Amino acid sequence: MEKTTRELRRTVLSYDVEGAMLAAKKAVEVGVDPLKAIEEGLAQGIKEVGNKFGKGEIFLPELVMAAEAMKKALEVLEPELKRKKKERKTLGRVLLGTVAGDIHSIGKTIVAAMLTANGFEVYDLGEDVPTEKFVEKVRELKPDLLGLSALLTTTLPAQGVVIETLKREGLRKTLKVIIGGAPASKEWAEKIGADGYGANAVEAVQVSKKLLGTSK
Amino acid sequence: MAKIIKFESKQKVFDISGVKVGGQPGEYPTVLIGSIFYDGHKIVSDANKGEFDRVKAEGLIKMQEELSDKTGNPFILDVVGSTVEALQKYVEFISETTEAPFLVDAPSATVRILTMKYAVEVGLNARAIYNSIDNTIKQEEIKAIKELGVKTAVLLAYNPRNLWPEGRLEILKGYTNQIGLLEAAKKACVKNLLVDTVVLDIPSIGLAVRSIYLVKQELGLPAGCGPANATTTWKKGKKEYAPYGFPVCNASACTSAQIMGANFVLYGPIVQAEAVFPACAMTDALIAYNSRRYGIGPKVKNHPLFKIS
Repeated sequence: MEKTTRELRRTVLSYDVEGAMLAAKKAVEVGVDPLKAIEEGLAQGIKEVGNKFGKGEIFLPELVMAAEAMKKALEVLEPELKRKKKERKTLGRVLLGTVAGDIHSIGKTIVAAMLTANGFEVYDLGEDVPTEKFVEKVRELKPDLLGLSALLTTTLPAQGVVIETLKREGLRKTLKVIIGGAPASKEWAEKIGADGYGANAVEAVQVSKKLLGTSK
Repeated sequence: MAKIIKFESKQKVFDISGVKVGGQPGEYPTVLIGSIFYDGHKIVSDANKGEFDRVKAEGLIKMQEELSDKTGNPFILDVVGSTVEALQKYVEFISETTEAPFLVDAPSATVRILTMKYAVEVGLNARAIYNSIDNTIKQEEIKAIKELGVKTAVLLAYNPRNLWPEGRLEILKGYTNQIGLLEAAKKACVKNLLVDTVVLDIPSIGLAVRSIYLVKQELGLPAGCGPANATTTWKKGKKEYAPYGFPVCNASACTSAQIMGANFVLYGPIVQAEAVFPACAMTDALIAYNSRRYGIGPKVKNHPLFKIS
């Protein structure tokens, strides 16, 4: 493995956000293949972090910092990927966001990192995302999967609103939708017509794989 | 091992509508903050419109008041709402029911600002605490807080790039391209600052209480945390150790913060007052008794040390 790619993996494994960003810049500077930098460096690192979290060896602070490190490094590497017109071989394109009125980011950021680690191409729209923006981005990016996060009982209905709006706009046919967040449940997912529900990041990855595996 | 915790920097003490927060361990009782109308609170029937069972809400507040009288621990109410309509109704109700200070707690800056505006307009500025100023604060929010003349705010020391205790100090001071919370508060002209050192999950309570020590040691500001952020979502504690697991573990998490110098704790659902007040009062008493031998005694007559017998 190339030195800078190794460094990217190391920074994620050591929860070094600043270091990850610098390593990503260095990778671009020395002309490392951005695809390799992401897949063999960042994704490998976050996968190992995810495994440790799954085994109960590390906890939320480490997971959040590793996810943040990956996010910051991706902000540097993804434009390079586009510039070089390289495409990641992925399991599918995922659009993620926390619904309107809700500013909670931690769970969604972790899900984004874990999906990326597992080979998905992830677009994170951030928090407090208006329904119109979800619709606009679905139209623009044509994702295979949309992930909607909500952490409040008062913002939970917005997940249903997004799904309904997508249906109305004729964008729901080939698009799979998963939902998550503390007040969400499998029953709620069924009620609003979502295709899946993930109680945590690990489940979100499993459900996403299942949904796209059967749909593609 | 140190005989007692005594912070080297001068410790600030703020008087929030009669409730003193801050100081060296042993001087002032820990302020206990219970949440009401939070997401999923059963007394709320419509969280968007702010409809709730007034009798039950009043009962919970009175229960907390009685425990506060009995133990000597002052209280603040954490009033949580996710819409302006709801939060304003809650604040109105609180102002009619108790004289205690309260946190204006909403996940959205717009809801917080508009509810604070209401609180200021009806003359509750001295009691209303803005919860919170965090790493996502924008210039518009700073400007709005300043224009409202907010007196007291919580600084939420969440730093996603470094969640170790040193990172909590880093976010308070700021770094490249990230305004420090202290600077944001200064720009907003907020004088009384309470630092919440952030709890994410059960193990991270350890990081939060260590951060309390660091914040007080370096900045001298009143500091505390909300262990209930973790205990209330700790499935094992609630299910496998029921029925005592949650209340006992929640109260013990609060006392661990006190041992490291916490001036306040957000102890979770207000109904937990029954478990938390006695545990925290006892802990305040033993801290104060030990501190007194080294010249730092209680500065209020109503200290839990004098109510323990």
